[in-house]
Amino acid sequence: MAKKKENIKIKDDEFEDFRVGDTIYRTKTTKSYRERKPYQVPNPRRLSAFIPGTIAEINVKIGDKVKSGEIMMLLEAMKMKNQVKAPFDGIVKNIFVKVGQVVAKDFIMVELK
Amino acid sequence: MSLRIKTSDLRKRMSEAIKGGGDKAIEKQVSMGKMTARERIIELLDKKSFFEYDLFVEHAAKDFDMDKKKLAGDGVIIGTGTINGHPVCIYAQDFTVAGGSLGYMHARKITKIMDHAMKLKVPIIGINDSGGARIQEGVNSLAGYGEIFYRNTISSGVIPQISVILGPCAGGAVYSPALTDYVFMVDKISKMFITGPEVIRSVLGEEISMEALGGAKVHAEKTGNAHFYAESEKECFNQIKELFTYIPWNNTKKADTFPSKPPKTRDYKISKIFPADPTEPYDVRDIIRSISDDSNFFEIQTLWAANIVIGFTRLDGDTIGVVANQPLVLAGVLDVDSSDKAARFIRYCDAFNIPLLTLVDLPGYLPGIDQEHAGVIRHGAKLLYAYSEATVPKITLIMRKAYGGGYIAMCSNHLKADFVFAWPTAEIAVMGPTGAANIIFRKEIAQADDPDSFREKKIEEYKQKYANPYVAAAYGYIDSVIELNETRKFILHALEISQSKTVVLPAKKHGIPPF
Repeated sequence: MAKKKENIKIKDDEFEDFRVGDTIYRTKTTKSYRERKPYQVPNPRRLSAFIPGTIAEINVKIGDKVKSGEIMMLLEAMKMKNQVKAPFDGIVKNIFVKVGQVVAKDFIMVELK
Repeated sequence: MSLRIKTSDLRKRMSEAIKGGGDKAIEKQVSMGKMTARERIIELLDKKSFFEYDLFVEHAAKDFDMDKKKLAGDGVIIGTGTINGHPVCIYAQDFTVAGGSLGYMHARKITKIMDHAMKLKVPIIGINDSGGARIQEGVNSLAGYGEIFYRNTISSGVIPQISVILGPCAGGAVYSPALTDYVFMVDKISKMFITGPEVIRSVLGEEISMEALGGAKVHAEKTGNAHFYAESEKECFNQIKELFTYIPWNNTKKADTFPSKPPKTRDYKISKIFPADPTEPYDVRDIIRSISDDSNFFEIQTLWAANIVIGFTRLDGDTIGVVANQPLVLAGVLDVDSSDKAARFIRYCDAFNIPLLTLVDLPGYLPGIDQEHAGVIRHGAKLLYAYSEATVPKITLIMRKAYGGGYIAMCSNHLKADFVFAWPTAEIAVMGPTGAANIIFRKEIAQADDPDSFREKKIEEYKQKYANPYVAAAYGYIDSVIELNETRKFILHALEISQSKTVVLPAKKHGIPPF
């Protein structure tokens, strides 16, 4: 039976200390636990792709002044040209993408100051 | 024409239809290490029990030269038969016929046998091996999927629905298995995803193989979409047959009763398996085996969210569903995935009249930003909902730790467990002794001449006073504190006297569970 094979054998070297509250338990961890992403404080000045897609248009260049709500880029994804708007009045500090570039979700596209 | 000629004509037609996509396509199927659709049905069902319907169904599509193509049985086999002597309805997609693609008539055959299963109140088994929608049939193939999903949903909790993925199952097709009770997958053969590697590559430029994206291992270990993982089709069919020994044939019936057998106490002795020190690990499945008939335990979702264990066993010959914290993995904490896993299983058991046994040993919910942001509130609430709503006999055994929210969630007296037993090693408290002492005596510790030794003293005091089953027992939240070797006896008796348990919940259309 398959389940015989899946059985977790108790071997000391596979265990680690695992803290819950103030107590340390001896236990194993799971792959998804080990691979969990560390939390990062979001930086509102850095705009990242909210959906994976292709940069269709860039309307600003470094040093440009932008007004809150101004469309800086078009991010084409899921058959839709999504607008990337400036979240506040600022100056474009850096642009990390080119037209035609394919970006993954959370890829930082532009930085304001 | 004579009877003989008519009969031989029928035989000729049948032998042509049975060939499916023809010798070449069958050869290709076999070379991929796969059985053909018909072989699969025959292997799974009892010998000579399979009867096929709709063998001569043909598609009626006209566009894109489809009218010139003949597809045997339109790429799917449907029929009825028996497993362990009990009736089942079954369908199997035939990949050798146009890649098992789903067109209008193909879907009509599937919905026909699903409707039969609902009328006859017998389980439905679907063997999926399909490239997806038949593009040439356009919106009609979408309609087909929708009709299947609707039936999956309506049949849910009435008849058992089993999905066996033995090939690709991509795009919208994946939602039928997702709506059914159990999904079986086989290594290197099964693949499930919404968007395949090619779309992902063209949209994202990310490279991934089919196996790494949606293979059996991924769904058994990472996503939790698969309930059973096997290394071969044969092993998979054996798992299905074994599952059918534990479950009833519809929601008005009881699973088969088997002869009662004592546990193999020589191999599984509680006192040898179980460490009293609450920080020491052990495999809770050995505890289950130490009390179950013949030390048998049929585990579900062994690899995913392994910090909780779910599965079936028998006590005195009758099926019982077991939910147990697993101190071996992540100290047995509850988290997003383990709450999901247990809650769904509890609702399954409740829908099919299977009593629940809950074994408790957990430090609580897993702390962490990732858990909070993953919605541990919403997911954790599923467990409370499922246990509270369940009206089957509910028996709980608190073995060691039962702290805080974890104590409440694991089928406590307050969620209307019928019987809560505790071993003398149980610690039922609002939190672990260290944390509790640190909060309660914060001021005194800070003001003490030697804060560390004062803290240790207070922790020890708290342990003595509260880290035991007797405070909860004094309020009647624990029905009996029992010795370890009395466990089976108490549980058997509780089950025996709960047989005609009746609970009437307020009339409603349905609740709003925290999905």
